[in-house]
Amino acid sequence: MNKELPTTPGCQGPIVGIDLGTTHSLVGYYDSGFPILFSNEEGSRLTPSVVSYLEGSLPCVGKAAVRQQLLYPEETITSVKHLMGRRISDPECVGWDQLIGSRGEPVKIKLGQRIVTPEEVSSEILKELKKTAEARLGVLVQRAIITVPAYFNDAQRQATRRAGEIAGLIVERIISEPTAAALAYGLDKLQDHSKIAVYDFGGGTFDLSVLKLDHGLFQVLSTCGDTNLGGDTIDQALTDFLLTKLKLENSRDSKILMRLRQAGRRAKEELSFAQETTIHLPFIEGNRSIEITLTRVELEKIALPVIERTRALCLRSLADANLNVEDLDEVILVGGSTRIPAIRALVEELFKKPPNLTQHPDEAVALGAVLQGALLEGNLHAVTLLDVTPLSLGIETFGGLMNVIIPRNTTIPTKAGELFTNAVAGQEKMKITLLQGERERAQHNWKLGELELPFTPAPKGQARVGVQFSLDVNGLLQVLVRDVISGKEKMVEISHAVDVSDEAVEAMIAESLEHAFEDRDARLFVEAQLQAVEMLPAVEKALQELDGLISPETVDTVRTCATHVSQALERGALAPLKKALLELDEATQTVATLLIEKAMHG
Amino acid sequence: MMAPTHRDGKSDPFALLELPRRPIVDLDLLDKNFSRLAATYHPDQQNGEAMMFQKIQEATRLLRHPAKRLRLLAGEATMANNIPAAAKDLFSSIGGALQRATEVTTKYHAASGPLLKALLIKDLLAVREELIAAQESLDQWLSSLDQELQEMNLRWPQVSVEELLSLSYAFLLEQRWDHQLREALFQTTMIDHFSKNHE
Repeated sequence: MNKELPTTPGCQGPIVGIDLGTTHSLVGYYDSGFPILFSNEEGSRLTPSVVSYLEGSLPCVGKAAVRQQLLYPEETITSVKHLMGRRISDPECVGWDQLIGSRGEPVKIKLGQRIVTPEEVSSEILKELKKTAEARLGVLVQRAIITVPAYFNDAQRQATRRAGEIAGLIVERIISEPTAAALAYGLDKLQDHSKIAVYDFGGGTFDLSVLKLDHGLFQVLSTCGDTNLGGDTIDQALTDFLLTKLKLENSRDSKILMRLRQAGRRAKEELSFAQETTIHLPFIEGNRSIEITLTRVELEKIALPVIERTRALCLRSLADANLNVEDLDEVILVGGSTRIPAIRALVEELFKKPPNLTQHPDEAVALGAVLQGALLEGNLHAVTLLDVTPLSLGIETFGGLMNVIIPRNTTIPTKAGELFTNAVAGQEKMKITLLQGERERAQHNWKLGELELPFTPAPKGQARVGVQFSLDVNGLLQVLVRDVISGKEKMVEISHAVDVSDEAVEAMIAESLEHAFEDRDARLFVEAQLQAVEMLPAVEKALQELDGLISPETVDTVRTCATHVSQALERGALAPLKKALLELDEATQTVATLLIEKAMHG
Repeated sequence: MMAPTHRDGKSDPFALLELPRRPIVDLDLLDKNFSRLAATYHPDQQNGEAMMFQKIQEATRLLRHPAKRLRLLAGEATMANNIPAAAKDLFSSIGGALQRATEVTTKYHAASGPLLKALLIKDLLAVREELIAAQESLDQWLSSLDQELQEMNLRWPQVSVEELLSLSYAFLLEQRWDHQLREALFQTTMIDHFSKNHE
């Protein structure tokens, strides 16, 4: 069908705006002075970011794939955004059982008989959106703005652009989601000189950005986030809770897990409006059917630890912008998860003002992408957008530390240079490691890749190579290397991890499947063991410090729990130790509270 | 040696931002000019120029803080930097506070449970007090530096390069210490969350 659409020569044609979300994706275009989001074939503006690869047929995307998921959970993938630009050894990849590859390799996903990359999966979603836009616009769509979480690093942004390319789209700009949402909000509502925060809690990622509008310039002052914190994290906590409650924790049946997760998510969504809801799961395990009631209070208890994680990130972003909460005019909520009342309550408490709910939680980001498309097409002249780089860029120094070259929250595009010299006479090259992140030690940061600098042979300290790091408007890194003596310049490719052969992949699958459970249990046990060894003397110390301030009953309970921990430690099994530690944590809650009160109020 | 009063046009940050070359600049005007120029030269604009955009951005960064601004006014000259006598005591008290803050916050983050964390609250509160006291002394020093700067601005251009460089260095130290103290204070705000969770 595409071939019949009128094409436009060269780099022309409409620039559509795309929100490539963790759970849903949207597409739209700026037409006759308005940003418009398109409905898909099913009549919805939200296309679920779910792709199903059934044997012998083309990949299927969206609502249809969601239906396939219940029947074919192993051939279906959701939330692939978490995996964009990731390597197997990243902590974010823990808990996914469909992943293959060895340490340091880019993630590959095994779906049934197929092996696909996260970029390929995302490109299927993008193709679907492209089709939706083409059906509505009646012309071939070749250019797009795609939004990414503000806190995406270079590899994640590159992967997103690559997904666009695979889908046949020229990605004219990668823009940050909270920035897009701010653009959607600010264009008509913002006063000059106002400062706003955008609290973006989506399906899989969280960002907080602080922006100001000044003389037609929309400037991001700071941004902070977590690319692995979102509605999915709450769903996971809720699924774990349901598994325990329904005594299904030992079930490894992926269909049961999938049904629980979907039912849990629906219940979570309903509890944003109702005080309680019922989860029905007919024939969940053989002939066993389940019907349980979940209240909002119960859900909040499960979700609160997840929601609380956004607090420190908000404070970080404000501190980086050098602002207090009082300096902000508005806090705008976007992202589907901000429908959760407990999130709204946290925002209100933290920012000391009721959050601004004028933006559609699911649509604001896509609308912003559409507006950015119009700005680039020249159809809109209202503002200029200045975004920042979310993460510091640096290189590894001797001793394994990170030397920052471009600090986080620097306005992009930007560039910075660094001069390198040979350490020994006649040295021909030097390897440098590029890093992104905020930690002091190089190994704790994201390793972007390596760069080989060529030296003109010269006595020690006399060969000079200048390296210019530039971050373009998309937040993507380019590196220019210039030999100071010869004056030669060249752009350098950063070597990301190498591709491996299919055979190697096969071998890795077998290996990883065999060892996955063992490895994990062993590591978890060591962690629990450490915690127990630290905890036991701390309990004694706390009880001594609070002597006379706590009831003998509490002391007894705490001591009993502590004994259980020691016993479990001796038995050497993970499950009982974890259980005993949890119980001890619970039993010492009042003790901890008392300790804090004593410290704070003397 | 007297400070050079002008520099060749285009690459001078003051000229780029259309501000007079003086120790003190009008920061509101700096913001306003930056916004206008950045909007004009941003690569997204029809006649945008990426090179010029970056120059403007860099120039604004240099002009915003007195350390960099005074350094610019001093031209190419350099001299050995010494911690000003007035700041030596300040330096050791800030250094001590920072060191203790790092120790306690590292322990706090490493602690694996609520009880282990609660046991550290007392130390955290003490170190926080110390940081706040250090911040106050630093603020006092900053206001004396500001006074010097104003006095220099009045005298301008009757100011020597040595004076510019030593005041620039003092501001630089102040900025660094301030940054470190803020960061340490930020790290210790974790205790607020902690108590919050247990209300």
